[in-house]
Amino acid sequence: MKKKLLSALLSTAMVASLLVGCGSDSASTTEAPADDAAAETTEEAAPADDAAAEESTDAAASGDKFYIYSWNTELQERLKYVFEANPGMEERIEYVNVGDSNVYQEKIDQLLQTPDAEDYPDMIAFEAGYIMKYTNSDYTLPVTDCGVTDADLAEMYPYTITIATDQRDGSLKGVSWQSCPGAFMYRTDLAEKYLGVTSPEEMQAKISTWDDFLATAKELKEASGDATRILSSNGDVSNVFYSNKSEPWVTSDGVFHMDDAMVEYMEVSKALEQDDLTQKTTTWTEEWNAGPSTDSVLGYFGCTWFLHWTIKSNCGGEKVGEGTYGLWNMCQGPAPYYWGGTWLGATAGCSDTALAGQIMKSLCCDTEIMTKMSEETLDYVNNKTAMKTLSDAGKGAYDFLGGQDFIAVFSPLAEDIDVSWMSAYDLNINNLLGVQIAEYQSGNKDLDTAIADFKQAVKDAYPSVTVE
Amino acid sequence: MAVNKEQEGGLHARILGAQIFRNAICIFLCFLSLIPFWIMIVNATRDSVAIQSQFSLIPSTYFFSNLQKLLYQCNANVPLWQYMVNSLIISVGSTVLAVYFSTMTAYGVTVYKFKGSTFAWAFIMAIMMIPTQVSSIGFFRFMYGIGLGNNYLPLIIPAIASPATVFFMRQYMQSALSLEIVDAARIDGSGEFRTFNTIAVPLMKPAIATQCIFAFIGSWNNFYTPSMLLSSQKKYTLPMFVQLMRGERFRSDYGIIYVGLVLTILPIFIVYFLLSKYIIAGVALGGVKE
Amino acid sequence: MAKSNSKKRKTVEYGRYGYYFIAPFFIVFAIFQLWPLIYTIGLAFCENYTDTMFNVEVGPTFNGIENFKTVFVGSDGALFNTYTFQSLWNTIIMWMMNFLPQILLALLLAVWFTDTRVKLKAQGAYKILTFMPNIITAATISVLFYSLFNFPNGPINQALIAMGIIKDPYNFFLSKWATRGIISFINFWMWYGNTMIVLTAGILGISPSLFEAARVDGATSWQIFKSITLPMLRPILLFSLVNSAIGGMQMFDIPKLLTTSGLGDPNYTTRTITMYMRELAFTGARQMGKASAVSVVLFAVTLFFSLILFYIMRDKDAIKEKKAIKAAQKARKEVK
Repeated sequence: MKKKLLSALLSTAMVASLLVGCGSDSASTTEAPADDAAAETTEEAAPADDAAAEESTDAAASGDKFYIYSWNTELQERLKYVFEANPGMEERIEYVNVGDSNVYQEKIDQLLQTPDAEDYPDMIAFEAGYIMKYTNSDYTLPVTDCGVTDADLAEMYPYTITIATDQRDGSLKGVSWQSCPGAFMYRTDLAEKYLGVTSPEEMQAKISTWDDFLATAKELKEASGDATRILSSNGDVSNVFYSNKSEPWVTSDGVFHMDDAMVEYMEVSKALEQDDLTQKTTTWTEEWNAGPSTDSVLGYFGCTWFLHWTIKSNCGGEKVGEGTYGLWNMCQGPAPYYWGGTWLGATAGCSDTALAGQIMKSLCCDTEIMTKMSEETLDYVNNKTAMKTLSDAGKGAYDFLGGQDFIAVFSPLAEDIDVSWMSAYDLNINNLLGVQIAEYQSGNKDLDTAIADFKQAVKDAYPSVTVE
Repeated sequence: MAVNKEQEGGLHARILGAQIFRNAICIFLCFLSLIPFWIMIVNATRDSVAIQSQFSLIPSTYFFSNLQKLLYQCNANVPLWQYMVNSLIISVGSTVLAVYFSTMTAYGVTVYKFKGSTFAWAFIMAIMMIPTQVSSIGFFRFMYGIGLGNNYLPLIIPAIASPATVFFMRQYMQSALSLEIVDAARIDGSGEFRTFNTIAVPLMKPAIATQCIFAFIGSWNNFYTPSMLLSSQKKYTLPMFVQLMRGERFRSDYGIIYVGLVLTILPIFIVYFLLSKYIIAGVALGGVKE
Repeated sequence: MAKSNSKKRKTVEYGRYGYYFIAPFFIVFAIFQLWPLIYTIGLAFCENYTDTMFNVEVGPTFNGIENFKTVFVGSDGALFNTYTFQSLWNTIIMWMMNFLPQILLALLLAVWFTDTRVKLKAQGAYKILTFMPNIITAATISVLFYSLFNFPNGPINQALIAMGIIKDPYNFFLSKWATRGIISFINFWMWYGNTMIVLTAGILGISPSLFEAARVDGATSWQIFKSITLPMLRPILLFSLVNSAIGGMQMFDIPKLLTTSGLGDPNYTTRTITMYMRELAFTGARQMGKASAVSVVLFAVTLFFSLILFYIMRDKDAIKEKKAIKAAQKARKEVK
C-alpha cells in the first residue's frame, strides 16, 4: 500500500513537473524569437515582445518597460517625487532592487554586456566607491545626450559633477540628488559630563587635529572610568582619512601610490587599538549599531544620510526624551571629509533617453521638487538654492540635534568637498588596506611589513597597475 | 536459539546502559542543533534596538508587530505569498527533475552495459568535481545570450544534470537493487521504462527521499543564482526578499529580518517532515523482502 | 547456469536502453553547462582581465601557460609561494578539521539509528534535529555565530568570563586558529546530520536478511558492523567521502560571510581557494584568465583527493555480495 502511495505521489509529481516544464517551455519559445525581432526592429516591436515575456496581464498593458537598477529602496523612495511631478511616468518604470551591493555590481557588469536582454538596464545607480568604473567607460551615456543642459547643473555642488565626469573626455555621465559632507556627531550630555564641553565650537577645539582627537579620547576614557569611548569601532575614522589623500590610489598613468594620509591612518588606528580608546566593535555590526542607544560611545563620524538613518534610527527613541534623541550635536572633526552618495546615469543602450533625461532633471535639477524632498525626507539635497531656502526658513533646526541647524553645519562643508583623491579603484583597494591595518594595529606586523603585504595584494588584484 | 536467563539479564543491562549513553549524546547534539533556531525565533519576537544591544534567549513580545511591519513593507510592492509561490515553483520543479532524472541516469549506467558506459560514468564523476564558481559567469552570459534572462528555466532545467545526485543514486543501487529483479520483470514482459518506474523507483525510496530533501533545501536557499538571473521583483524568491530587507543596512530593522528568516525556513520544515517519514521508517522500506 | 546465460544475452540486447536512460542528463548538461565550461577552460590559457581605470576588457588573447606561472610561482620566484597555494592550504586545513569528525560522528549515529537491538525510541526526533542546522542558509548561520563570538560583549565571551576561564574578553576573530576552528566547527555542525542521513539511507538499503541471519546466529554489534554494515555500506561511504571532499575543497560561504572583510581575516588565513577565485573573477580587475587557471588547479586537486578515496575504497561489485554472504556465514560459524 505504502509503495503504491509513493509511486502515485511520484507520478503525479512527474506529471506536474512536465506540465510546469511544458508551460515555461512554450513561454520561452515564444519569447526567444520575439526577442530577436525586438533587437533588430524599432521600438514598436518592443511592446509585443514584452507582452509575450511578461506572465502577468497588468504588465502587458503598460507597454515598454524602463529598467532602473539599484541595490536598495533609497532611490525608489526618492523616485516617488519624480512620479508626482510627472504623471503617467510611474507605469513605465520597472525598479530593480538587487538587494545586495556586492551582487549588484556583478549583475550590472553582466547585464551591460548583453544589450539585447529584455531586462537590460536603461538607468543604473552608482555608489561613490565604484562610480568611476562606469562613468569612465563606454557603458554610460553623457547626460547631455539625455537632454540635461549645463543650466540644469547650476545648482549642484561642484564635487558631485567632478566625480561623475568621464576623465577621458570631460563629459558628465551621472547626476546625484544628494550631497554627503561628513562631520563628527557626538553626544552632548556625555561630552559635557566627561569633557566639560558645552558647545560644538568647544568640541571642535578638542578634536581639531588627530593628536587632539587621541588626547581627548584618552581624557574621555579616564574621566568616564572606561564606561564611554570616543568611537565604537577603529574603522570609523577610515572615511575621514580616505578623503584626505593627496592623490588617488592609482593615478592616470597607472601607478599606485601609498599616500602619507594612509600611513597616518594606520598609525591612528594603532593608537586607538593599543591605548584601548574605542569599543573595538566592527562597523555596521549589531553591537556597533547599538552604540547610539547606550552611553558607551561618544560619537560617530558620519555624513548627511548617516545622521538620519544610522544614528537617529538607532538612538532608541523617536522624539525628544526617548533614548538619546535630542542629545546629539555635530562639529567638523579633525579634517573635512566626504562619504557616500548615490548617482544615477543612463546606460549606453538606454531605450528612452528622453525619459532618462526627464528623471534626471526632476530628481537632481528641479529646485522645487528637491526642496520638497529635502523637507520631507531630511535628505541633504544636491541643490544649493533648495538648501539655502530651507535653512533661511529655519527648517534646518533639528530636534534630534537639540535644535542645532544641520543645514548650517553641512552647507559650508559641502561647498568645499575636494574629490581629487577618488578613483575607480577605491572600494577594492580600501578593503585590501583594511586587512593590513587589522594586522598592524594588533601588533602582528610592523609598519613596513604591513605596507609591503598591502602592495603585494594590490599588485595581485590589478595586473595592469604599476606598484613600485 | 536457546539463550539462558543469566545471559539474557546481562544483555538487558548492557542494552539499557547503551541506550542511556546513546540518548545522552543524541540529546546533547540535538540541543546544539536547536540553539540557532531558538535564537532566531527569540529574535523574531524582539524589537530591533533590543536585538542589537543585548543577546538574549528569552522571547519578547514584538513578534506580531515585526510580522506586521514585514507584511506592510511587503505589500507595498509584492505580496509575501508571491515570493513563497515563486520559491516553491523553482524548488519543487528543480527537485523533482533532479531526483527523477538522476535516478534514471544512475539506472542507465548501473543496469545496462553499453559501449561508452564506463566513459559516461567517469565523465559524470569528473563534472561533479569541477568548481563551477568561475564558469558561472559564462553560464549567466550564455543564458542572457539565448534570451533566458529573468526566467525560471535556467533555475529549474539544469537540475536534470545533477552529477552528485546521480553519484549517490548509483552507489545506492549497487547495494539496494539486484539485477535479478530487473531480469525477472523482463521475463514477465515488462518494458524497460515500466520496470524502472514500477520496480526500481519504489526500491529506491529511502534514497529518493534523502535526495529530495537535499535538493529542495539547496534550491530553496539558493540566493546567488536567482539574484543574478531574475530582475522583476514579481519573480523574486523568498531568500532574495529577505536580502532586500537586509540590504537596507543603514537602517536595518533586525526584528523584521528575523521574522523573514523564520518564514523562510518554515516551508523547508514542512517538506522535511513530510519526507523524513521515509528516512526514519526503518528497514522494512529498503531492500528485498525474503 | 541457464539464468546467467539468459542474463548475458539480455544485457547485450537491452544495452541501447542505457543510452536512452542517460540521454536527458547529457543533453541538459550539453545545453546549459558545457559551453560555459569549455569557455572557462579556454580562458585559463588566455590573458583576460578588465583595466579598471577605464573599464576596458583586455583580451581574451592566447598567452599559453602565463596564468599558470603566476598561479604556481610567487613574485619572489619561489614555487607555490602564491596566494593561490596559500588559500589552497587554508582550505585543506579547514576541510580536514571538519571532515574527519564529521564522517566519524555521522557513521556512529547512522549505526546507532539503525541498530535494531539497542533501539533508541526517540531516534526519529534525533535524526530530524541533528539534521536541522543544514536547512538554514550559510548567511544566517554566519550572522548568528558572529554574534555568538562577538567581541567584546558576545554571549560566548560573557559566558567564558562568568565561568572564570578568561579574565578579559577575547577577540576570536583576530586569531587565525580560533577563526579557522569556528569555521570548521560550523561546517562540521552543519553537515554531519546530512552525512548521517545519507549513511542511514545506505544502511537501510542493505538487505535486512543479512542482519537477521547474523543476529539469529548471535553475532555481536561490532561483528555485524565490521562484517556486514561496513562492506555493504562501502559504495555509500565512498559517496560521502568523495562528496565531502568536493564540498570541502569548494568551501566558500561560511569563511566568506563570517569574516568582516570577506577576505579571509585575519590576514587571509581563512581565505579558501574558492574565495580567492571569486575575488579574482569578480572584484578588482576581474581577472578571468587567472581565475580560470586557479579553477583548473582546484579541479586537479579535487580529482587527486577523489582518486585517492576511490583507491582506498576500491571494491569490485561482483565479489562484494559474495563477501558479505561469506562474512555472514563466517559470523554464524564463529558463534557455533
